[in-house]
Amino acid sequence: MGVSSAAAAGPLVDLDAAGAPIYLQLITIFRRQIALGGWPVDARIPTIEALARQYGVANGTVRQALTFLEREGLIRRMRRRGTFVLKQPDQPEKLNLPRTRQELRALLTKLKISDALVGEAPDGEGMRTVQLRFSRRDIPVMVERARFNPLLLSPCPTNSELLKCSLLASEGLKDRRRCSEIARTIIIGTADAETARQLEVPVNAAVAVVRHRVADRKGRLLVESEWLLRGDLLSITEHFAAH
Amino acid sequence: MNAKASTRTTFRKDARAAHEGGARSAFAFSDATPIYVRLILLFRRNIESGDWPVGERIPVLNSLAEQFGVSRATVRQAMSFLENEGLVSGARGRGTFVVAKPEREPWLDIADDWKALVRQSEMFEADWVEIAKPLWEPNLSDITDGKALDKYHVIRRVLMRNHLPYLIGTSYVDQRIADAVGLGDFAKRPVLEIIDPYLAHIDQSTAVDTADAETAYLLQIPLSTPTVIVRRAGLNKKGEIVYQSEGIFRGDFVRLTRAID
Repeated sequence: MGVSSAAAAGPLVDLDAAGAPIYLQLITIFRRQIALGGWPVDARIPTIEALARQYGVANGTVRQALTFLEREGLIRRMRRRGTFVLKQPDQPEKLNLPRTRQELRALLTKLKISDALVGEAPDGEGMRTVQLRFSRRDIPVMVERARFNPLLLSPCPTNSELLKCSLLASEGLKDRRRCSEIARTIIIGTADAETARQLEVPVNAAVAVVRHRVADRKGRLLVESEWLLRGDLLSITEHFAAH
Repeated sequence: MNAKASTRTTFRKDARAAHEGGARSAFAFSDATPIYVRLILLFRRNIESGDWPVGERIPVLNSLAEQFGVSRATVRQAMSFLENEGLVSGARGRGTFVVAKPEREPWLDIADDWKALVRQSEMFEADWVEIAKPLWEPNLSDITDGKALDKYHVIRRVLMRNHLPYLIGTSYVDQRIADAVGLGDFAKRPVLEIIDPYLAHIDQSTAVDTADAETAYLLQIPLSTPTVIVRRAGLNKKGEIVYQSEGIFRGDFVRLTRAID
């Protein structure tokens, strides 16, 4: 089952090793072809027979894979004229998660606050809460739900300050002699109904949950903040030395 | 026998506390964690704390479903995860029993330093299934300035953890290194450990995707559920990419801990 692909990057091995059913593997291969431009938009792709020969599989297997991609809206099969590429898989511009306070401020200035709400924390601990929705080019990208201790955070942000910027960039967190680093945990969740509404994504769409926590020098909580970021926008780029 | 903690509190609050790692406050954070994941975390905590003692029977599916206001299928999904992990065991007609306390966290941390990376690969690459190799080469030009080589030896595996597939890992090792080391070695040791001496620098990118048909099949997860994609380029001292990899993780238990100084 020798395979030779039309892609610039030639095939590395063949399909017959263990793994997913062949048509599923073909879907992934074809989608990559489209995503990487091997099959450009508007161009005709090779015929089913040619692809079947190329990958050493049955015509029906190729047809099965192409049907899947057609349903995805990436290609269109036209009787007698062949199969054409309609579009590339969606690749939204990513939001790089900040690694430093400077990058954090830079990220926040790129986003616009499109909704804001200030309130008391529901648990009666004297904490205050703020909820902000951030958009990029009028598309919601992130919701921040945060709370802070108004007795410990100094200077204590005013209501209008709270509605204008994330608590994580507030004046009271700038002095590293008085507060800890911003501890941060990132997990991947799915949008519940409310989050889906706020981010304008389907329920159960992937959401990155980014939790931040800053304490004062005695370990008392100053600010706790949760970002719900559209999952498809999340990107974290890191560089580290080996050894 | 019934879990004290869970009978006293509502599911949402309790599960959130479990998520936060214990006795932290129950500030109204989001419900972005899928319900079955919250159940797994909660049940594990019940076992860990002894609320559900080892050797004892746990409440039946119906009563758990009712208690937390979720469907039986969701409770079953969580239970089967715990069963795979070896924490509970069910015998038809006799109920489900706690077998052992959890020995490690359910979370899988994506490393941000080399030592942790190698340590992790030693821990998790013990159990894997070799699968068909991909027909594309990775394109890492967006994350690295390294120079790609002409020929790589490709290794593609589904890695198992707690008897569940959690990662499709594809590694590309500089063919010269593969030849020097001998291919037999790759069947026995984690790839990262083998190439460790050749590396000077790693560029890594983490992003979220959703499972396409092949990924869903291999990881045994529903189509379009979240996955985490970790791409790495390993450079030698000359700036050549002697190692590249693409890892597709099931997304539900991946975690990254990164402080902003």
